[in-house]
Amino acid sequence: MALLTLSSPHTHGPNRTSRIMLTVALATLPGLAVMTWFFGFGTLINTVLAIITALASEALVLKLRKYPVSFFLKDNTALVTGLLLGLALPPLAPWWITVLATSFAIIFAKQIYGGMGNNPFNPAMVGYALVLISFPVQMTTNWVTSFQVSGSDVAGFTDALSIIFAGASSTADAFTGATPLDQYKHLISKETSDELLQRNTFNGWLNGGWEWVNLAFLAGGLFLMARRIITWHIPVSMLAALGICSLILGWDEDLYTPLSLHLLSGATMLGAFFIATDPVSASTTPTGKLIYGAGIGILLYVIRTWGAYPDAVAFAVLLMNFAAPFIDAYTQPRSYGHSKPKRGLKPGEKS
Amino acid sequence: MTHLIQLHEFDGGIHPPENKRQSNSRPIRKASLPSELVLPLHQHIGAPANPVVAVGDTVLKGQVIAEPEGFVSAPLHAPTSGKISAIEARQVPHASGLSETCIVIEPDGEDTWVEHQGLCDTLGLDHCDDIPVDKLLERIRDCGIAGMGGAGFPTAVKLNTGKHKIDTLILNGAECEPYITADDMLMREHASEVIRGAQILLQILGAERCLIGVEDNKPEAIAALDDALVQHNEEHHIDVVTIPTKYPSGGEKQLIQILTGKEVPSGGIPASLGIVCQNVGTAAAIADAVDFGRPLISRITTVTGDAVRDKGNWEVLLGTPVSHLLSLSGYRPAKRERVVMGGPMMGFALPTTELPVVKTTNCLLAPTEKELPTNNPAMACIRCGLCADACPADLLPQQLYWFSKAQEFDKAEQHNLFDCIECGACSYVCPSEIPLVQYYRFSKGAIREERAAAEKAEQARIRYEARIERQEREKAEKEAKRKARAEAAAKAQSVKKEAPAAKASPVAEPAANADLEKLQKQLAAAQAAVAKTKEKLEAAREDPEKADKIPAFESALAKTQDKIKTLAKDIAAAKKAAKSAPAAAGPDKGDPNSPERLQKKWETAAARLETARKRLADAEANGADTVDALRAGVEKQEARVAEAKAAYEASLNSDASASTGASLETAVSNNAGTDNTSAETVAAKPNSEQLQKKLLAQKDRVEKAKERLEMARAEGLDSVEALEKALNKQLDKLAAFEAQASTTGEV
Repeated sequence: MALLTLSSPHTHGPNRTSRIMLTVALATLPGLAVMTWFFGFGTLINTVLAIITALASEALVLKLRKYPVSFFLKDNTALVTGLLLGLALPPLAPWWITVLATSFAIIFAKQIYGGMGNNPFNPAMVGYALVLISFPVQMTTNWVTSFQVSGSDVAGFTDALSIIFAGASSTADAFTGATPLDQYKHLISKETSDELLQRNTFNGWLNGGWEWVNLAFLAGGLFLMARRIITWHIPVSMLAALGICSLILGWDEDLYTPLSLHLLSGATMLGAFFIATDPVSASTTPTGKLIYGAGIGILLYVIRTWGAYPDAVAFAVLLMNFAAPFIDAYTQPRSYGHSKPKRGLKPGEKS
Repeated sequence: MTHLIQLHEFDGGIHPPENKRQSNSRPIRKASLPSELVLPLHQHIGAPANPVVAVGDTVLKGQVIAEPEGFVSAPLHAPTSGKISAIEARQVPHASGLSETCIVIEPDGEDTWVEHQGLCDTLGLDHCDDIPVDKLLERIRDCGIAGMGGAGFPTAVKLNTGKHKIDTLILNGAECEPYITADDMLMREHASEVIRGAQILLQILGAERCLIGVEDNKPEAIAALDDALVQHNEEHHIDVVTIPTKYPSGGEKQLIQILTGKEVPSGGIPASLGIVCQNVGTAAAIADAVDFGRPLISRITTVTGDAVRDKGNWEVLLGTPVSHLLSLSGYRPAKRERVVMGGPMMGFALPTTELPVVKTTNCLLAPTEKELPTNNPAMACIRCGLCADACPADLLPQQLYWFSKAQEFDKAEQHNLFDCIECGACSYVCPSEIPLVQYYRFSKGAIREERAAAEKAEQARIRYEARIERQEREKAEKEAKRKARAEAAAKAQSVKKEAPAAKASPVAEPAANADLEKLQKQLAAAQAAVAKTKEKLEAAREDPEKADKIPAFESALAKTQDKIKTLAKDIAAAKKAAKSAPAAAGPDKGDPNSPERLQKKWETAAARLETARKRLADAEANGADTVDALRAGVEKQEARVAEAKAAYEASLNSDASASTGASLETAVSNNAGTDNTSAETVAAKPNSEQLQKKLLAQKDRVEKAKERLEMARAEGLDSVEALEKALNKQLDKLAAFEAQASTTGEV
């Protein structure tokens, strides 16, 4: 009788890539819910649209590459890419922006490099950067001032649909505006912090609802950490670097965006727990992750404070993506039985 | 037990389902005798053992059937009494699936022990506590004990720690692999032997303390060991240490780290830390060997997995076929299932169940597909890093995977590939179900191959250079000889002018006799053929069915008869030639032993010596490499000159008698045909001296051929075969000369 001869080990733990990706997707749900609560259905519609686009693009390329489509679609990585893009784009961004960003992310940033696991850059952020650079107006004006904060009308489901798909700009004007980070950055040179906070965007609420969005993503991130899907290294070092920069360089809130706004506004927590931690494009060694995260935190602060863009998670992450392989090569851990860790990729060294 | 041991944690590790309850709930059973035992000669690390029995021999239980070959090796003993039914290549339990030489025993069912006794009795000591260490080591080696935890390293070799001073003995009772309970059950039922083994090991190593590491999922084993400690009154030297259950805590390096906090240096051995680690099963086997003289012929093996009904542990004779043990346990084979030797993490899947249990077989795992599903197709690595978290050696498994996949072996090595212990923790946690360990094995194999090739190339280079150097040296020597000869020839020319030499007549070929014999044989064969053909012809004439063959037979007969006629003629001619041969051997003007010739020889030799000395002087002045060779040449030449001189002087003394002999010979040969026996007798006389010379020269040639062959062999040159042939030819010639010499001597 023929026996199966397979290489050891002959047993496997419960971890599965598809399950990990699904858990990541689930962990974003609190954030998505809070965003919908504060900013209306725009985010939800965008997210669904992005996911559909992502899956369709992935299926198309897999088919062209003659790969088994359903086997690879089931790994849920395209789902997560679409989901994260949907969450990152302005809630009332026109549909074609979402479709363009997502399909570019999947086709160019992911599949052309070889598909899952082979992309050097975070696909969602590549898609985001593309539309941010190409369509700055749509990307900066389609943010919503929270009706919960401003007391203005809610962007209902039909309103959101017509704005996103029909480009009903007259309807949109009623809801849209700049984000708190954007406003603070541009108005702080003219007004004091106290005056600023009286404006519609903030309306007494510290971050105009964004603090709750960020706290929801923080909760999702902590859940991922508890499930050992991500480690503490990247989020902690990124947030710490951002915080330290803010405390040392921007302590005067009448001149610079305050720490609270840095940490709890914009895409900070989404970036720290869901985007910077994308394992494929991030650094992988423990020390490397700390350096990588800190690099993102510093770049984030620098671009937010002195750059042209109000938020900078995408650029900060992409720039550090470049550095990740290099960081990895120089941050190998000390292996068992070795007196010191090895550095770089030079063969033949003894340690 | 009495000491508080500070435990340390190793990084990484996993907690797979233990699955030990299935097999450790009932006592160890004794497996029945199979119909044959198959004992591979290579059950340990090192050189295979060398069989000392032959097919058909009867052996007793415990009798040595194979001796160790070299230092790192182990002997093999008959596990039961019976007959050696075969010594042949059989498939062995090794991941390669290769066949190796095995000794096959057909048990007689008597199970009769060979005479054996404890070492104390063997040595006739009064106090068994002070057996000399070398005797203990010898006993352990003689009993064929090799590491029973899985590696199978010869224990006596491991205990030979050389310059390292050992302070701690660690007994490995962790047994961290899921499913396996062989050590667990051994510790429960044979705790006393384990402790006794520890005592012996402590004595051998001169170590101060012994730590027995057992995972906390084996409370019964721990209790049994503690009881045995009290019995042996060893609470002060030996500690049973309970360690947390975590795979792979039973890896030697990991256990050392847990118990001492020290790390075995990469590429080093625990002895360099003053530590020796042995499996508890090995310790029990040592106790058996020393106290009772029982060699390693059986072991405890767990048989488990859902494909067997009757899970448990067996005391099984080495060489028992896996199929026998499985059928004892109620194995229900299913399609596309595995039988794993060892545990699910590090064991290897057997290609067939017709393989023997060997010294390292701690478990046979027959899982169903439902119980341990085979991996799904691997997905892409997402660099999640779970593997790095699980790695007990603090490697970056993911990077090693990428490097292996890209065949960037130098980078893999730089990332400490060879520190991987292949525990499988990374594969276990990999969410993409990538067979990581397989990639590492591939890389390690490829790198080892590369290294071997590089080493071979280096050796070839050294050999090549040595050859070129030798050829140049030989060329120089030849050149020196040639010059010497040329000078000598020139001198000889001048000598010739003074005394014109006589013409030498050619000497008749002595081949005539050989030809004659050959012809006679042919004639006999032809005559036999004629007789046969005649018989056939008669038969054909009588049998009408064969009538058509008659003409063929007749023509064949005619042909053979013709042949006989020619042969007869040839023989007559040959006989004539043979008779005239000695007569044709003309007067000895060409006799090499004539005083004139000898004088010439002497002169030439002296001239050569002169040139050789000159060359040596030149070489010495220039400090050339060839000085030694030249000096040797001069010495030889000196000897030759002396020889030539002696020969010349001797010839002068015997000149008169020799010339009478020669003239007599001439006289006799003139009467050729009348009495050739006397002619031969006389002719033989001067020939014998010549022969002696030839013989000596031939001996010299044989010596030289031997030397050359040795040199070629030592350097592993391709010319070995050719040189061997040459040597054989020279030997044949020598034999021929010797035979000739002896016959001439007799006359």
